[in-house]
Amino acid sequence: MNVFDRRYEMMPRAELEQLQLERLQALLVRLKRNVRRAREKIGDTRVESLADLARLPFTTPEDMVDSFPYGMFALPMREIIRLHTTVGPQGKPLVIGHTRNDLAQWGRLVARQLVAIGVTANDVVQMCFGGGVYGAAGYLFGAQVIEASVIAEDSAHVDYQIATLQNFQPTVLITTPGNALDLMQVMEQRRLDPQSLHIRTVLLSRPVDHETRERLAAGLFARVQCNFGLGEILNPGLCVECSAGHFHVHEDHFLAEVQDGELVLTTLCREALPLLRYRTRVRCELTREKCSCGRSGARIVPGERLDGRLRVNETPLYEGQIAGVLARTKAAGQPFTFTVSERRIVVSVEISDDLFADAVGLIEELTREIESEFLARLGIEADVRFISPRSRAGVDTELDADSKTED
Amino acid sequence: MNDVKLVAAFAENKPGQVAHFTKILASANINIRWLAVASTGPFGVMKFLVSDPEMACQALKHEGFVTKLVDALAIEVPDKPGGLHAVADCLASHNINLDNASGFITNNRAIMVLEVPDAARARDVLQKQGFRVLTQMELPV
Repeated sequence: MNVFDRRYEMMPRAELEQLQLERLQALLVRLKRNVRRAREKIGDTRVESLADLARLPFTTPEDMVDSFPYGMFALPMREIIRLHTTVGPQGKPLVIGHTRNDLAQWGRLVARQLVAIGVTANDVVQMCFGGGVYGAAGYLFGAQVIEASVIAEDSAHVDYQIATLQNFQPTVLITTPGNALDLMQVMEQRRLDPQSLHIRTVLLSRPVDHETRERLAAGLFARVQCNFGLGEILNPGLCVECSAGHFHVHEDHFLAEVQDGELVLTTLCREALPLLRYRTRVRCELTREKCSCGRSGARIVPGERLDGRLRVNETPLYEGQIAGVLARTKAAGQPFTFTVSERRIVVSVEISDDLFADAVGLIEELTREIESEFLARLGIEADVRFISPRSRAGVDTELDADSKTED
Repeated sequence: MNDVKLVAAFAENKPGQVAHFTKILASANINIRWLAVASTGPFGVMKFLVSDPEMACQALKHEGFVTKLVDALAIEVPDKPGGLHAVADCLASHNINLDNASGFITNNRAIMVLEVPDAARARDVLQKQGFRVLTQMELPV
């Protein structure tokens, strides 16, 4: 059986809950001593059992934005050796600090996932995140813990990725679903036999539906497993997907609850940035049923975002950010609608008298200008098109129907 | 003013757009003498030479279209070989760029519609060379 940390991953429930309670009490002491915001909110609340958790205050993503960048750190910067960033509400940046211990723990938590999917010291691992080394940081720590061979290169182009797959012969591929699908398609187009490669397991950075998983498994001729994580808590390293396909939260490190359908997590061990009852803004189901894999950690089924976060080509996006980009162009303040596809967004901006007066013939130029703003500011590809105000009002559709009957 | 005004209207590139405009102009009792459609992918700009540009503009705006008036020159040229060349040559020799050019023939008169960056200067140049630059009123009905 592929279990990295048998003692904690398979800890009997009663023992696990006792451990959680002790860690929670220690966390409260640390928070009250070191984080002013937490001290004010927690007050004199005492925790005698895990049931008392319900009396503790929540932490929200908005709290994190308010305390940006370091307001919620529990240790001085001297102790903090890494600052990772993630995306908060409305695309605002958040900083997640880590101490040396935090990073070491991170590696051990990710190692649980890697071992669960059968990665050993004999494996060669390719990581493809397209955004440089930091998207892959957690996986790198995990692979280091189990001493797998990591290829320290993030191929910028699928051609190089394929060349690396052929030359280095990695057995494990860790990547985004988007990249895995691209890779599969290019291999199909070039009639490249996936069996000629050596990939045994693909670990995807986020959950995908059953159909996509099957397609990738067939197209890459490998077992496909998924990660689920949250940048503010830990991603990867929050949970492990077992061979039965269930996500088990690392409950020795994270206390998981569901409040009004929303996943709420408490970091029990993190030193630099401990979070108490953090509202993740992710819909979630949680059960503590026994699993055939033997792990005792709570099983979660993550659902959709509750805060309107969209995803375009693996990049998080909020509607307000679209208006924000437009605000920096001549089309500032114009009403717009948009549709999101997996890889890009289509933004339909209403033309105004002013824009038209300014730019007959220059509208095309403005379109390109706005598109490059989207790429530069949000890192996403956008198709911008100007539409007549009538289109949005729905007048045209009515007239179209008219003219059809006249025909 | 000697300049002719064109009505320019923004239109999405999809079936039925011209029909919307013509329907509105017809019901406002406005005569269209000339029409040009410039399309660049998802949208296009339609330009009309009409009997009453101000009114046409208002009628279209009233229906929610985005429009504007564009200065243009209407030049009468002889309907014979080399007629157009004389105009083009004159503009070229004065280093005047043409943004848009088009023409039509009505009652045996050939009319060129030109859009240039500086209409006033182009008009002076052309008039000095003896070309007839028409006013809005002089346009054939």
